[in-house]
Amino acid sequence: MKKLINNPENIVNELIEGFVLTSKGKVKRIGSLNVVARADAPVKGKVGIVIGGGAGHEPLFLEYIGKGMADVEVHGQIFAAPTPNIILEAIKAADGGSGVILLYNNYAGDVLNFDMAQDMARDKGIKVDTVRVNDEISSAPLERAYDRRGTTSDHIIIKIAGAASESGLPFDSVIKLLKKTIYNSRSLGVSLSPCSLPETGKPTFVLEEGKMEFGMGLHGEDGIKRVDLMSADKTAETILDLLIKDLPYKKGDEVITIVNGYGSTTRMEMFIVARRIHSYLNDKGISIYASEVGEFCTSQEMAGISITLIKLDDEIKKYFDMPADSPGYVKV
Amino acid sequence: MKDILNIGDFLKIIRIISATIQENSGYLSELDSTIGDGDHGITIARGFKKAVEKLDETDPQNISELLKSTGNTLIYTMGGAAGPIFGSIFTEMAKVADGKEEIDLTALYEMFSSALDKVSRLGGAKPGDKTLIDTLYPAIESLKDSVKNNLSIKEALRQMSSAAEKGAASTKDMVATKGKARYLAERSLGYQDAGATTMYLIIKAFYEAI
Repeated sequence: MKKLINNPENIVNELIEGFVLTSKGKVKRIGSLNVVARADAPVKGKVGIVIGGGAGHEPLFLEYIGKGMADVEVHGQIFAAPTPNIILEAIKAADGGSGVILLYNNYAGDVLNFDMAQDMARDKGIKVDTVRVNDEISSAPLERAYDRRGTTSDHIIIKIAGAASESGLPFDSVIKLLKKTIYNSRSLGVSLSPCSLPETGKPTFVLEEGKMEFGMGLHGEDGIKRVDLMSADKTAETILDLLIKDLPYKKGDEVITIVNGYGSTTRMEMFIVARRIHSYLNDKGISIYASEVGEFCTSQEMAGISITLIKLDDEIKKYFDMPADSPGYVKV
Repeated sequence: MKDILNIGDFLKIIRIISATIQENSGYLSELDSTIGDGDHGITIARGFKKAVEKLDETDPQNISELLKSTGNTLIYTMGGAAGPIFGSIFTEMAKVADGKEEIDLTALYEMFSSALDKVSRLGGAKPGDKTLIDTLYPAIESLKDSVKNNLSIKEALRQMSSAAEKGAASTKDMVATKGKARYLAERSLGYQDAGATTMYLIIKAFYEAI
């Protein structure tokens, strides 16, 4: 696989350098660490939001820091969780005196490292707690939802966390709101071609010509079902049926829909899928409050899309409607 | 016949672990890419390279410090699940070795045993879950027998290494329930676990160093 990089060992450092240089002073780097904060962090009196995870999924999580979004991001190596000592520095950088919430995806590596960092921060007297995103429905059955991994609802969850903490919502209420929003979020994707690791240049899995796979992980973990390539409409329907059944989403519900491209999917394809989502949900009596189409969480050059549904209530809607200003997500 | 390990032995062990892991980094990544995300070899090689560099730089004066430095460097430089898991093996051994100038077979058994408890708690894995525990558990059982039978350290490590090799190979017939491979469940059958293989290489290095 061809990629425009320099020394593979410097990928993460160089991508962060580029990101900070091009973000118009809105973000700052903490020392020379792979930790980036909104320019005015820590914000005094505000509950701090720390996000992070392995690199290689940009814009996730790196580009979602700013006013109305997260305060600090900690970037691991490619597809590998960041280390506890670095996460601790991110927690310190986010601590405005009202506690810090660690918001990240539910993967074994992230859990181990963030938990260690949480213990270290608590030993230093910082109030810290954790909320994990687990929206991907194919990674474990409903009764083991706590084992599910986090994927493409992230930027909206972060947006809600940012708006709620910016509005002065207290620590415990922010946590409760985030858990509710995550519970209301379900995602499932389909892959058409694999991602590769920049360090090795090799694809992490093989997908034969003419095949597609549902539930493929963001790191090339095998999915649940490998089938012959379907049309955009049939693909959208298959995913929506599984998502709708999982929560379940019901007639009269109001949702945010996300069509996420995994890295090398064209916007042309995304809009064709989005079109069918609209007509299909309309037929089911589920109303769409907002639709997002784009690359929010990628996996290198993996081709494919994921669909996310987030069920709204008045509280979630209120925070979704507030402004957000991060390099990767803006809402006016 | 040698019946104790001193700080020089442990330094040699860590160096041999690192060299073995660097040599096998491609193979470990390949194992990981069939059922994980294919970065295990690169990550663990980076961790041990840094661990040896740190030892050269700080020149720890006792066994506990040496193991603690190794473990912390793995935790602070690797990332992913492997950092805390493999790092904790060494930081846990360091706790048991605290205050000891020499390690006999019984102490070595206690160190490994305590490391096993710690990583089992951290990752929540049991024998049969297709993880490094499947290497570590039978290896420690072998070590326990060797203590009972009063074997020399060299012979005990030889048998331990052989038990670890069998343990790592046994993960081929297991279904993953932990880590990223758990998402594959039945489809993880037939592949040897990368973490279990790394654990074997670590134990083999103990044997080769002595």
